[in-house]
Amino acid sequence: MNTPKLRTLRGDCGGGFKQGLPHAQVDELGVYVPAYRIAPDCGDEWSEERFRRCPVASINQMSTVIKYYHLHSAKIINISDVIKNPTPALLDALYVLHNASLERDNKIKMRQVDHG
Amino acid sequence: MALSFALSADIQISVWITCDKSVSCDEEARSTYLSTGDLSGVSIGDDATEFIIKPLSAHEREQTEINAGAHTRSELGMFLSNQKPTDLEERARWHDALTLAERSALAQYDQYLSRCYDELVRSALVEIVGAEGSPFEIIQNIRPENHRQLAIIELVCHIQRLSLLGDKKKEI
Repeated sequence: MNTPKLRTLRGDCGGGFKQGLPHAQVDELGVYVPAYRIAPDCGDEWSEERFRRCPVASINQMSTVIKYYHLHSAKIINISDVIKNPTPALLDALYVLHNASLERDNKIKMRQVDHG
Repeated sequence: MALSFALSADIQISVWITCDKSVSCDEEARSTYLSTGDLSGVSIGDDATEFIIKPLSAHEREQTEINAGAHTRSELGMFLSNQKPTDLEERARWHDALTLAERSALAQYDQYLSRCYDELVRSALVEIVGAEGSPFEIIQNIRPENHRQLAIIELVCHIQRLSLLGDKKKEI
């Protein structure tokens, strides 16, 4: 569902969630949606995380970094080919992406083992 | 909304400091600007002073800490600094109970942090638009003193947010 009204309540791709959004709750910092409502499969560690804006819109800002990470992982480029003088922030972001990818792969393997 | 950190240490961006008379914003907008670079709640007048800064690479950051005295800083001072209570009265009583050696170590560590801030600004402040001479020396001449300190702290906030990911961003 992506009606104009729902889109507005979701913060128009990047803004804060607004009251009236399905599954939204309110705490002292404002409107949020629990992670398990957005991604029911996110696991115990993340399920209680409080999202205050659309995570898809937020991750779109990271698209360049994610693209570099995948190209680097596939040995198609070196990060230094595209960013000559990287900031510690970029290096940390790549490290976070790497760990998240390993966690995702482990989760998939564990599921395969659990389901025979 | 854009990324609040920079990918490359080779870029330059303009920032403004909120204690400038030609810059106006409420406390929430100020906090948002310092932590994300979002200028939407900040009004910048024509006379506002524009600072051009660059993010620091890992090597440049390490060098600023070495220049500030990272190899000779007080480890006890750092340990005590991390223990400081946040409540003002509690902190005052906590400080009062320290031994003279502990107070001295804490003071040395605070001086080291202050030198770190200075070195960060020295390395990352490229230009003050319209001002001639070393931008770092111009900052040092800002008066009154609390405005000089505020200018340095705000510039450091911008340099840090551009250069580092921050702990919260690593979690989410």
